[in-house]
Amino acid sequence: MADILGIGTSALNSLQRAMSTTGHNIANVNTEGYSRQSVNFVTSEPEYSGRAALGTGVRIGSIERAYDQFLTSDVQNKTASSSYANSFAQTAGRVDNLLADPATSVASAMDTFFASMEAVANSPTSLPERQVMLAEAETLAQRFQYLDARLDDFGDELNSRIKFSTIEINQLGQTIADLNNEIARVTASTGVAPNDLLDQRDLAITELSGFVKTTTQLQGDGSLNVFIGRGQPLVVGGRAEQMTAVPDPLNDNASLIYLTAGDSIQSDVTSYMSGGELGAALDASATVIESTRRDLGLLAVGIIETFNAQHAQGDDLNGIVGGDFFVPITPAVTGGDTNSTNSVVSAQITDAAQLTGDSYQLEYSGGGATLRNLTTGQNQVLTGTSITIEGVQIDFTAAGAATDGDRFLIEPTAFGASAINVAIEDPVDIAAAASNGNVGDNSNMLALIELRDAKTLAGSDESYYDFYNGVVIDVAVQTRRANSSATTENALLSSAQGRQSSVQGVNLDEEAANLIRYQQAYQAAAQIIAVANEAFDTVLRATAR
Amino acid sequence: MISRISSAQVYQGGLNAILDAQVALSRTQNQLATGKRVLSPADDPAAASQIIKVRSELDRVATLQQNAARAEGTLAFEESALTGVESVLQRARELAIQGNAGSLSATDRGAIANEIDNLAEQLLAVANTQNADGEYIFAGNRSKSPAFEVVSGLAQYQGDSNSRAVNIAAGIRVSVNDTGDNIFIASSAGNGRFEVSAASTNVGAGFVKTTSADNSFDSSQDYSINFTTTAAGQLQYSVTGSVGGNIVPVTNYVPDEVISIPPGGSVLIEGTPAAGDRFDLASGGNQSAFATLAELSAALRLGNGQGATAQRTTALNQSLQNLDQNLTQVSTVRTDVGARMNRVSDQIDLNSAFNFQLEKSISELEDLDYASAITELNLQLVALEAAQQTYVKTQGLSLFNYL
Repeated sequence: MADILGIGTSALNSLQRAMSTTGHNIANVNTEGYSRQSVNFVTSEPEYSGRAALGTGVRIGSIERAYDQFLTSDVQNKTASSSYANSFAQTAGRVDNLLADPATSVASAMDTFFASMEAVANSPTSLPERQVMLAEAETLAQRFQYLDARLDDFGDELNSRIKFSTIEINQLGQTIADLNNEIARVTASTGVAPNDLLDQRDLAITELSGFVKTTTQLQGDGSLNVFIGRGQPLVVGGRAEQMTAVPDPLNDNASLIYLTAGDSIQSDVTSYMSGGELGAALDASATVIESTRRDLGLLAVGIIETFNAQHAQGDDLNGIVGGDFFVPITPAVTGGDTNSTNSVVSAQITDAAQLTGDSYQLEYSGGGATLRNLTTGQNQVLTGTSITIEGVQIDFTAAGAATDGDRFLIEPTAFGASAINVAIEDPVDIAAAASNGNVGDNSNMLALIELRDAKTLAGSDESYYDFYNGVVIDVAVQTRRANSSATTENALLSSAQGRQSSVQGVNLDEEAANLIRYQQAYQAAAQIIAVANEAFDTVLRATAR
Repeated sequence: MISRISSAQVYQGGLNAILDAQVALSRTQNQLATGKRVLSPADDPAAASQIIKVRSELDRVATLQQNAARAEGTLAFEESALTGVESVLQRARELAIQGNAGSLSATDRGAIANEIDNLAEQLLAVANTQNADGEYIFAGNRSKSPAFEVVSGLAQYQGDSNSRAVNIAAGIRVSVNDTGDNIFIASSAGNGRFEVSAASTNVGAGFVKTTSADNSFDSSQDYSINFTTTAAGQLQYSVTGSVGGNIVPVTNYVPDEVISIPPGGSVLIEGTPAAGDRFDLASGGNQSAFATLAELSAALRLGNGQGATAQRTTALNQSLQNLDQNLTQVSTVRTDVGARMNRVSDQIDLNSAFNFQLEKSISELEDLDYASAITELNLQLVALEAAQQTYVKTQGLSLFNYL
């Protein structure tokens, strides 16, 4: 009779656990990353009595989580690409809106500037018209400065986001490493998989994927090695590497990402980062923000150069040859921090039509000098002391006289949009007349107005307007592509999440059904105890007589 | 085929359907509120590129229309000044004819000469007309100082020969002024090839009635016609060129017969000159309107003797010719101004038409098709309502309700 009690008890115990598990599932129906768990019942070891094997009841074989490695990886991948696409589209969209706003458009400022020049051409001797022209030139310059400052703000925000991403990545890396340790320990000591810890680790990796693309590799002890971007190790067993973001010494507006690797010193992994918010911030900074700033800078420098050149062809109201209308911009040349005093580099713009907006690095090494185009990555060995490249003349100390290791960053147009300013203060100084023309002459003003449509930029193929249009359309096309890619990626992520959820997620109806099932079984098992009890009583009564 | 679905999925799926419907609805709402199909360049980069270009074009056409309207006003102002010039010269012509009548006394002629002097002052005032900016409209580009200033008794041109052009359409310019040297100075003297004057020492009654010259006339030199008498008392003349020397040898003078100045020129002298009288032919000169009036005034003030009367008649006849030349010059310029005004006004019409085209294309590029947008809005509203109702109904379903 003891056996039947034992069997009943085993059933009650097992069913209680099953109901607990169902309760756990119901309790976690809204827990992110939770995988539903299910109880596997197995029969207990039978008792052998003579030639019969007697069942001894039931026990819990295991509690398993519903899990599919493929679906989980798929969600992690799609999280990285969807987060990348959304984040990139957001930045591109902001730049797109900035350039679209007629209130901040360079094109509309050029419209009013040229209209004010028509008024001067109508009344070349009248000062109010000239004053208006100066004011409109000022507005045009401010429009450039404003756009550049806003793009600079966007760039700063991206850098903050990059910094924030690295902090999150470090924290998540540490969480994953800690969970690796715990999972390995529990698995080793109990031989049982700690379902809830595994869920937490998967969730942490999914969250990490929101910041950067991740790939994982399962180890024998149950720990997962996590690689980010294009295969850079972030978590190896119980160790998490440290990521830092620092400003690019060659470009204040860009960030560099450094990552430790085991015991070796940290190295620059910027170019290996991809996917997620971090990848999006790095890409958007380079291809949307910085390229737009460079293009606006080139347009500003182009206007300054060509306008000043034509302005100098005429005479002002005092019969004096026209001076600079806009403050001329000299290419920025920055020497490296460790440069010797032996080498000197300077640059000047020689042909606005040939400008490309690219920046260059001049470096002395091995007794020679090399010029590297930082946009195209092309290298050029320098001889002599001067070179003219893409409309810029660079004068430099001859390789023999310079010190190896000296480096110079040359940025011909990078500061054009922030530095553009009107040089003339007195409206009398506007050179509306032709050279040696009398005060009433407006021919130089007419020639200046002709610059509106003249193909002066981009290899003499584009007017000011064409070029600006190109800038707006570049961003628009990028934004449109990013938006449509975000839509696609979001749909893919949702569908991957759906597939994962359909395997791993809790269904309350299912749990309710299980609850009823286990409850009924529990009631039946309780009856077993009652029957055993009655049988025992029967025996007692029989013997007591 | 998915055979189970999690409760979170049911919830999230329902919610996503509502959120998506709201996003689409909000976009259409935004389009309807702004009336724009393209809300940012990314919505339609190709159209956005066009929109930017067309907007600039529109702005430019508006500026050019202002230019054109202004040019119209400037030209009209110039035309009214030129009308003034014409009436001054017309009046001078009338006075010259009047002054040529033989019946006038010296006092009468003096009164006419005074009026001529007044006309000369009026002419100077008109020639120095200023516009609203204080510019002298006939001074060319030297527009800040008077076009004419009196130098040793005669108005001299102080401006330059450049006129001002303004843009009235892309690549189309129109001159909005004419220079004083062209209007007042550039007309040819006399018959267009030469002008003749009587020497102030003439004593005979001979005066120049008419002159003529054709293409073959050699205007590279000046000529003089000299009268002499033979011992027999025969009046003779000869023509001498300043370069060619003796052009017409000494010839007997036949009254009222044309004296030819070969090649191509001729002078008709009426009355009888005296020996020693001389007529000078100045070739290829220009005659300013101011000089014409000054000469006219001076001729009218000549005395009453036979020689002086003949000199005056010659001078008045020449002045009439000169006035005609001056008037032709002014009316040529005035016609040209009128032609330019027509061009400007045509261009204003063209610009308006162009403006309309641009407005139309910008509207096609960025304006919303309200009918289809409202249809879409209704569809989206239905979709949102459906999503919301579905959500409420499915969320209410749970097995737990029956436990």
